[in-house]
Amino acid sequence: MTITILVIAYALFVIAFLIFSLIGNYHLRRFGYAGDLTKPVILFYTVVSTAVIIATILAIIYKSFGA
Amino acid sequence: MAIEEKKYFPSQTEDEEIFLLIRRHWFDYMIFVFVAFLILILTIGIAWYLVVNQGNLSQVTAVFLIITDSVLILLLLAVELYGFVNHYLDVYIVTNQRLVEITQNGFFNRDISELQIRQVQDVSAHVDGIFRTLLHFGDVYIQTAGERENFTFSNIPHPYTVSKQIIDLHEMALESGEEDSDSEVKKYNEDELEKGLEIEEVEQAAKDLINDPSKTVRRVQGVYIPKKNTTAIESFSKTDDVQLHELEEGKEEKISDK
Repeated sequence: MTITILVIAYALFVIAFLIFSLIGNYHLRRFGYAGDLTKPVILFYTVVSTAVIIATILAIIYKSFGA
Repeated sequence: MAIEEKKYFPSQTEDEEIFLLIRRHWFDYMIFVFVAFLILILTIGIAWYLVVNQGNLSQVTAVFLIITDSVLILLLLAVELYGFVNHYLDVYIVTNQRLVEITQNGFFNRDISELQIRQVQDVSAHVDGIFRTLLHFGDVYIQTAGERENFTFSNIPHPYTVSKQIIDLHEMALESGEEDSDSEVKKYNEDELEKGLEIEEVEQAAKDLINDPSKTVRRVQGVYIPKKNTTAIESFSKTDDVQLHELEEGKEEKISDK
């Protein structure tokens, strides 16, 4: 039960994070200049965020069911 | 050739060129790097505790620590994104006829203002503090004629050279003999209705300038200069390091004279 609450809280945080990220990346995409650092930053941010979220989900699954 | 022939925005006259595109100095972003460093230390500490006490922790505690660590890393990324948007989307564009200041404050506050170069009355550069002096960045204050708000280019690299460039452009504009007339002022006020669009086109012009396939742009520490603007390139090449080198050379000659 406690783990379920933790996971739900994390899911809500991730949703808020995704909305924030979309807004931030939109600004970089909209106002960035071609050839500048905005596109590499968008790519780096997206890859690292996705990796962190996937790794967290896998770790939670492993701790809850795999151990 | 592309820069000489291409018009970058509709109100650009035949002899109007983009001279400089300036971003704020990288040191301005350091506060966000410092915050990231603090969060990173906390994250590594939690991860280390989790690994060391792996066998001793209850299932709930382990999941709690994993989620806490993940939240901290995502917060770190979010803070860095916010800081980067604030820092990197501040741009100053200098043409031989106007100055454009674009300031991004947060995600939902973007200010764009422009000033005719002939309205410039006084330009001064200000560098204070040890970091600004060592890293060659500071503010350029542009005082305007009339009741218009003064312009400030904050935390830009090579402020002395930029201010000199603006003064040179101002003098060039005055020498061209095109003085403001009442009709011109009136026309400009009418055009202000379309100001947002025009400034967007100035931005687009700057994008085109950087992405020019003929590579006619040279970048000097965050300041973009068209290659044909040889005067500016020479000015920016004369950084303090180069001047120091010249001084050393002079010294060597003096010693050899003896």
